Amino acid sequence: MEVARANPACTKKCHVSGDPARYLLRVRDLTVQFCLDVGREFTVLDTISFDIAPGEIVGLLGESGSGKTTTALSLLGLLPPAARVTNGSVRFRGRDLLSLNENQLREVRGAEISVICQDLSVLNPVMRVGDQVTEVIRAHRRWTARRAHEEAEAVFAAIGLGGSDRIYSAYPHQLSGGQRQRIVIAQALACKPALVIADEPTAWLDATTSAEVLDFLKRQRKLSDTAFLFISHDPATLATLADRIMVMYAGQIVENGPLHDLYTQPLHPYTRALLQCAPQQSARTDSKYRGRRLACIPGSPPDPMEVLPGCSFSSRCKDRMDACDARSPEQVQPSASRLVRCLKYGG
Amino acid sequence: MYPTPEPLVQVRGLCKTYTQGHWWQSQFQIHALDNVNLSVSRDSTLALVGESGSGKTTLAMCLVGLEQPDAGEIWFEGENLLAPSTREPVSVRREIQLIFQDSAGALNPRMSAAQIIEEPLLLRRHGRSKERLELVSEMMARVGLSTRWKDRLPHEFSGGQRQRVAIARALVLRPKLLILDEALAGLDLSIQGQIVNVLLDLQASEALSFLYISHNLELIGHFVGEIAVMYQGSIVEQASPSELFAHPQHPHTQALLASMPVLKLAYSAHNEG
Repeated sequence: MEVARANPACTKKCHVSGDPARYLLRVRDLTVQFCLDVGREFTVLDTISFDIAPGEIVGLLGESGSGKTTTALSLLGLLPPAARVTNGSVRFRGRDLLSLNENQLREVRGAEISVICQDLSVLNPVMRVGDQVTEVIRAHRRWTARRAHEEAEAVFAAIGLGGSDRIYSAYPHQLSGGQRQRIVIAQALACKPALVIADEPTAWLDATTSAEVLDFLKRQRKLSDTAFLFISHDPATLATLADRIMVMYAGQIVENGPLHDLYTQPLHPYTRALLQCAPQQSARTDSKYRGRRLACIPGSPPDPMEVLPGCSFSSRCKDRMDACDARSPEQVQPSASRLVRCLKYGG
Repeated sequence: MYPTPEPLVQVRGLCKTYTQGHWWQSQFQIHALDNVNLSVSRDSTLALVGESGSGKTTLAMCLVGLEQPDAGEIWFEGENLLAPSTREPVSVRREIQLIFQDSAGALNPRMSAAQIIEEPLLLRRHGRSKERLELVSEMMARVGLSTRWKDRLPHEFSGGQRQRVAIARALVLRPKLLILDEALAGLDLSIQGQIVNVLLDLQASEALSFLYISHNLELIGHFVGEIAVMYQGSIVEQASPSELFAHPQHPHTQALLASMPVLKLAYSAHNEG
């Protein structure tokens, strides 16, 4: 907890969640480096800290390459061989996930924490989808085949694919994108995990299907108090379901706060710029937007290979000060429920 | 009945049916396009929206000649592209260009950016090599790519930059119609904005129409003159954005609008900068 010590304004609880005493996942100072060659190392995640409370939906917002997926993978020890966790801790229900061995991790994955991938090719093309869901259940429960099958059918019914044998015994290629996405969700929810990491589950679905999937995830939270870490690059998608938003930029969480506060009063210049990029509802009906240029953030995110001193957003920032190039800001807590990493707020 | 002056593209009664199943299986037919009527006016943008499987891409494929429709007419600048015409089909096709969603798959991985953009000119035997290179540099500058990146290969670019290379390649022959088939899907918000701005600038500076195909209605208010809604192979509704969003007529349009996530609690800083 160096962050807390470095800044007196930030009390010892330098995190935000519904109830600080009750957390499901607590990540502190997580740092991940990629090593391409000997001596060519670069930092992909830089001292990430956050908490997730039971039943909370936390949105992780950021552009591609900002480290969203790496965050998700590092929680479950699924990082590629070139990556290494160099610092930090991940505590889940009081256990340190980073110190578990592969066998212990296998018991956590799918049963207590599960992942919904963006890529639907995670389904086995030569196995019936019903069996693929049953397989997850049997991997974690010492149940008979019949009981696992019944449980899988119950999961199918819950996600709106039940009632017919046709989908249960279909192969992935026989289903539409929306149906396949639901199968992947069924796999993730089959063992009733406490935390689901959803990595852009609706990115490739069309609007109507994606609305159904989001609706289903929200209902699931109500039903079984499942917590979600929902990763997306689209603020509008997160606005429909998240309780709290964490904004990621260049491997750091630059802002963290409740959905409504963060969207109406963004603190970090990056959050503000990103929300300005989002097409507004008024643009639909108001003809004055016709042919008008969209707001966008000039430049592109920094290359992780070139580490410059100072804040990683300074070259694109509207509110840049001289001090921004000199040192990297620390995380500060301007109000009870919000965290920001910017020198403007004294970081 | 059609607005004057004569539209750039006019599609009348276009039909395309795919047959699924081999001869030993039971066959069934999919009506990908079912009597489609559509017109794109000059120097404007028409958005084509609809859920996946509604036939949007099939229509784009028919327009550029990658699919042969079963029935109907496609009129482009007073010529029926589907009739055996006096003009070579190839020379008409250069005026209609298509950009795909997946820019990584649409660019040859072993050619440099400059070679990719130059290739259409080479195929048309356009000018001398020096002129061609000048044109390539000009195109790269216009879509916002640094000319220092000429020799980069596609994998060395980010997704947004690759999409710019694809746009430069499509525009190097100065087409009159550019079809964007989900060309912005999967790009980050800030990058989407940059690409939309490039397209708006291009449209302002030269005679260029866009057919913007998307399942996403978000950017349409900024971008578009008219919206056509496609459902199960037919155009069910066509209107201006303000009309369509305020009074959607067809039940499918209503469902589509209801399912779009929008930023309602938006930080209102649009007037700030």
